[in-house]
Amino acid sequence: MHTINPDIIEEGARAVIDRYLSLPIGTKPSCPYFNNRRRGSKSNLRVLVGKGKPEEIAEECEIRALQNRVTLSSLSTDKLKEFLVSQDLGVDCSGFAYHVLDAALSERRGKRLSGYIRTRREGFVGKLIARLRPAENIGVATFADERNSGAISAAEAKAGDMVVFMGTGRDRTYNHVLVITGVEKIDDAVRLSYAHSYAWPSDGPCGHGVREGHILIHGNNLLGGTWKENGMVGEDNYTHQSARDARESSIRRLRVFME
Amino acid sequence: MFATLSAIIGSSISACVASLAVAPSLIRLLRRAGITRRESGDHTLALESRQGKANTPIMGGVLVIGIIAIFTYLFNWDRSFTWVPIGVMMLSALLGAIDDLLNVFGSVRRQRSLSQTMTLIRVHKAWHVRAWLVITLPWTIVKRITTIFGSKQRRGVLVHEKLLLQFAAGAISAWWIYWKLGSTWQEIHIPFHGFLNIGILIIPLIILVVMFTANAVNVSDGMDGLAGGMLIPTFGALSFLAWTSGYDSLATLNAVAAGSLVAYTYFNIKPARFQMGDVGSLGLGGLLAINALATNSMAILPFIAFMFYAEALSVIVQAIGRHVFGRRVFRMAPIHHHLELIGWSEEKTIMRLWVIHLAFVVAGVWIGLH
Repeated sequence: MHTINPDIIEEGARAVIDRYLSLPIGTKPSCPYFNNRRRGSKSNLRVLVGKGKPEEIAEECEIRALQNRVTLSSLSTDKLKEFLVSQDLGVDCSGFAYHVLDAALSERRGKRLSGYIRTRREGFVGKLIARLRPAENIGVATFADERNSGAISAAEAKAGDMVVFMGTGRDRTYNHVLVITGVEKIDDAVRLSYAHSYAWPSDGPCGHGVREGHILIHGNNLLGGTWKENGMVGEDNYTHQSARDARESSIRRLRVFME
Repeated sequence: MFATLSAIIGSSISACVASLAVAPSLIRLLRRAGITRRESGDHTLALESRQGKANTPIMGGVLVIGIIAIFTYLFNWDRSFTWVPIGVMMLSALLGAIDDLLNVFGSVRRQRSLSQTMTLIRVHKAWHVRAWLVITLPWTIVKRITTIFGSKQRRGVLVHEKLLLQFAAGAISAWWIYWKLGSTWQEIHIPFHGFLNIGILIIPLIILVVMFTANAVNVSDGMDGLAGGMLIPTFGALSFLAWTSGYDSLATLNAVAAGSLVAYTYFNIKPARFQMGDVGSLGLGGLLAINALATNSMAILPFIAFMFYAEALSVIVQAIGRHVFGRRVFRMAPIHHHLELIGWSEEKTIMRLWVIHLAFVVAGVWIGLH
């Protein structure tokens, strides 16, 4: 078994992922998963709706700690994560993908992602809001929109591409996105490393958040590949299960990366 | 001319001495009446460095407002010049006093959100309630919008009520000035240029400047000694400019304010024996705005009230950042809280802001003399 030309994501994007994996506060916990769908908070700070950068999450955590008279430095990693979850601080999958891909594009081309993504907002006001608050208005459906990305085969995949699940979850209304952080060609197979923000039912109240995994794909069979995350494969791997449950799961590349 | 200057300085010293004499009794009275800063609902008290401020008497601004009003009524009562400043100050202070008292003794006020209102319009059984909610919907929207400029207060006068009452105070003053006092009050001194008579435009300008300045002083009153220490050079500068322009009664009024503020600040520096409260900050903010207008110094207000305006702008910038861009610009607004949260001690923050403010006041006086 030998590897040919491993392809890895840009250093800037890697640094963003690493900061999500160990937030720059206290004992450096990983960033929890937070989805605003249930909360439905509007026109708030983006960090409070699951769309913040790691630094913003850390800063908000410090402010909340001051307001709640909590000394962050005295908290263990688990307790700190508990505190983050109790304050609804975290990131959702598209918020995570937005900041990582924005950093990748910024390093690759010196451009901002918001300038190349067409949001699904309609009308002048809607478009203006999307322009002013891009992270909050670029969801998985926007990433997966044909105007913004195109489907590719596993063999074509590169770091910076995405694995998108449309219509997953119990009621098939959830979408999800993984960011491909590295691609290795191993003999006749392709190994995709990815990072994402997700909550598995087995994670409990605080075990969720940003993490990494990989998929070993033979041929072009994404769902038939071996998915490994948190040491789990097969039925125990909820990410894989979500991909299989989805109406559509595909590997996609942003059009701005195709140019 | 120097005899007048001597009288102005004398009135300032007298106000200071009188305030020093009254302050200890006032502190005892406020404490006995339970008019103290409450921990519940005051999120700034959650900061570790501020925990000692709970139960400090508030409404200490009554001292300065009272001394200014009494001194002016007894020794400096002039229909053409001192009626309006005292009237504006008293109206603003009254609003502040109501707010202070409701904050201490009032009950929690429920505010209905816009979505709750819309739901009630759809589902309420009584048609007349639904009709009333539809008719008052624009006002409900205004109420919700104004909350972005306030802290999450649940007691006291709410932001939209405060703005409405300040608008009314500004409008009454503007009406009195425009129709009763003649053209002197309609002129603005433009430095390096001369005087500009803006006629009826003085009305919206007065309303705007009174509202903005009163709120600017109000938001600056968040640290021991900060607002008081900055108001001393500001009123001192106004007094000097009024004296150089020949407005002796206004020079005396400002000198009395500065003198009384010296005594107030003596008791307000950390650890504060009492705090200004809205009664003082809104009252003195209104007085500052109207005195700048009366001494034709409105154009230099951004200099002589520099730090107050900077504090108010930091609140506006924070609100825009939060609600338009979804990001914090400052860790906490107004800016003195931000400086504290990035690690400056309270003393360092206050003294640096005093120094910056003083430099701008001096620059403002220099510009105002041209």
